[in-house]
Amino acid sequence: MKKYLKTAKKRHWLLIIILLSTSFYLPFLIFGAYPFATKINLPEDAIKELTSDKYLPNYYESTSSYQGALPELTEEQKLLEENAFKNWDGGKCRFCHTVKSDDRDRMAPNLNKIFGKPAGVSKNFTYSKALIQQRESGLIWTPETMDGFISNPQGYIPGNRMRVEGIEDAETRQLIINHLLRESK
Amino acid sequence: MNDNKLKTLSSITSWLLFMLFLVVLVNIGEVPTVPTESPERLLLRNFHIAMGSLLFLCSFFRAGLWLIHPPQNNNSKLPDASYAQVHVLQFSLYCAFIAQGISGILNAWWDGLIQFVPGVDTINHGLWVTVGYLHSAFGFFYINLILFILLFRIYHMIRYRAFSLNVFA
Repeated sequence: MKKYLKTAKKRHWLLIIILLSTSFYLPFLIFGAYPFATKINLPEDAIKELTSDKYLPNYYESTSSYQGALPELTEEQKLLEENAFKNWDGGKCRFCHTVKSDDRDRMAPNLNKIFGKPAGVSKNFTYSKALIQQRESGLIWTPETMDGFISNPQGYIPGNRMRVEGIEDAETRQLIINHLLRESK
Repeated sequence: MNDNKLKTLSSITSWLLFMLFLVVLVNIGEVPTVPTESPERLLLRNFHIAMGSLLFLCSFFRAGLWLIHPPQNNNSKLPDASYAQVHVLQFSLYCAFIAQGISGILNAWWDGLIQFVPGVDTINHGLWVTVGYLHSAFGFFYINLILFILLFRIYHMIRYRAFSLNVFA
């Protein structure tokens, strides 16, 4: 073993260190993952403050215009909505997000009742500077802002860590938004 | 145990590791195509945990054997330094599997999937994020190692006419 280790030169181990370092960077580069969850959460009061001067409808009450606008669906159409969220080819939302109220957070926040919330306020997530800036400049998630964001995430909030291409098809975007509204009822 | 027996045992373990790795690789490719809450996903996830644990144990055993009886350069055409390069990569590959196993076990534990004690709540998002990141990073590490082992093997074939495509020593 000693002879073998002597034969192995520094450059051999250097390659291992380079490969290991690269590998540690790749989950961040490819998936936008972060190696730890920050404990610095925005206090509830500060979150309320962000929406205090804005008129926001209740997106989830059955009497709201948003819920009212949701079409009655057959089982097949419901599957279509679910499918848009779960299996859209460009980057399946379900890889990182959950949406049901009893689902736990995954790599990215749970999207239950996301509409009406300021950007970047879910607990225990290390947000990108870009998203924090958007939060501070007053971005609130509404069906309209969500539509803009998922149509071109990097164009809408440059520098955010959601590493997916935009959904060009407006119908698919609407299906995803409807799914979020319906699952948050 | 004499050298011949150790060599045979090392060889069998390496082949076993290779096969387990292939099974896990197919499983990794399959899992994301199945909806999260479906029973099939649960089955695939449990299979992943079982096969991953076996891969981890075998790698541990193989790395132990390596320390007692390191692989020797049997090819006279291959210079010792080049041989050492591939073997450093191969040894690191076993270490990567061990690290992957440890992070995988921790990930499953903190994900609340392994509950040896009934009723125990192990879910912790912060820890899950960290070990999940490590599991992903070590995954990339062994993919990189395998690619580089193959690249070096091909280079040795061209330069030294030393024909071997073994990824697992």
